[in-house]
Amino acid sequence: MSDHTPENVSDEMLMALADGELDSEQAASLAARIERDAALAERYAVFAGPVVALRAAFKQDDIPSRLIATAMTTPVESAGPEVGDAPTIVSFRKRVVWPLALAASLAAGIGLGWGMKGVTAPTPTPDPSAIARAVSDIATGQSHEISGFGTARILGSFKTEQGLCRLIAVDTAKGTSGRFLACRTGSDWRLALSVSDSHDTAFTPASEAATEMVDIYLHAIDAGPALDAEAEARALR
Amino acid sequence: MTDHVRQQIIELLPRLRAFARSLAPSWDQADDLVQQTVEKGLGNLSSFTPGTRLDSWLFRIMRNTWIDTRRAARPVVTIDEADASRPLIGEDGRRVTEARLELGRVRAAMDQLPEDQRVVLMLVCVEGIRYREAAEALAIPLGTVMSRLARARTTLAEELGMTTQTPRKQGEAR
Repeated sequence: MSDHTPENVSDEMLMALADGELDSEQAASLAARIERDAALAERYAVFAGPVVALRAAFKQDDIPSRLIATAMTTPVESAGPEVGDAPTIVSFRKRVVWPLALAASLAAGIGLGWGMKGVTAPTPTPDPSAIARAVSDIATGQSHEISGFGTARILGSFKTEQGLCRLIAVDTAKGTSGRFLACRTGSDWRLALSVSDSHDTAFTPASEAATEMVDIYLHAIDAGPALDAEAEARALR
Repeated sequence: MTDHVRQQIIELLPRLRAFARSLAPSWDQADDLVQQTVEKGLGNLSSFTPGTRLDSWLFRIMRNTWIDTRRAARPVVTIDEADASRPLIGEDGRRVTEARLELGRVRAAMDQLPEDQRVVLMLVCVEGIRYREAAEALAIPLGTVMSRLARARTTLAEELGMTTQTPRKQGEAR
């Protein structure tokens, strides 16, 4: 113990000290020896120095939220005995058990929110039904400029039990964006569902929720797959 | 079971990022790699043996993913490098530049090391993982972890001029 010759301290010991692998008693005793012994201190610096430098050079920022979201939401492929084990992510068909009335009331709530935003806007906001009318001869994928308001783009057309419905994305000149679903009754279009994509502080989950809401609604009104260009043109005629 | 695994993965994210960063030359690429790894892991969860180490299993997926990615990858400018050359407005230019150059030197020295040494340095020295845990997570003997750490650090200390012939006195400027 009283022997100060460096040979008695192995490189492994010095490294273990630098890495916090020694128990506190061993660590304190070795640190005291290093303090007294310049040669030992120099050897120790070889192990301790890079640790400090590395921690500074490779310090992690906060974990990106997208990684947490990936861990939370990536669907799990389960096979064999796992199947009966109540999976967190179930297929879309299984998950949608919402009665239409509930989906519709939610839709009304969301639609109202979107509409109220429009009320407070300085410029008159076109009614979604009016937008749907304005784009009624425009095919999926095409955009339409609405002067003083922004752009409307058709995302898809669907045959549903409520007739032909179209999903339309709007980007306002003010920088907000949203999507709405309009369904045709007779010769006119009425708003079925409206969701906002943009929120001042929100990030992706907000729009994911919006996407899911649209999916749930489409499913609830028994929508078929998105119509191809030809079928859409026929349906719009 | 699935919820538990998701929770475990979230807890392992710092470790997964450290491992990824020892493979990839920037945090951006490292995070992409972590994301791919988590997606693949959850997507193939049935091939994970419950009771074995989840981190080891994810490390293996990550290394394979990285090798696959590199096979197809084109050279890219890493964000860390781009960061180092960014103009320094409104800061104490000289001091900040020196600090940044020093960090850049450490990263460059790290890049020169063999991958197996970089991995143990990141896990043990940067993430503060115990030797025994690192050995289990990497599925290598404890002695191998220690010898790789020792070799890596001796090289780094030389590269970074931390092995002066005469011990520095306290307060003495270099």
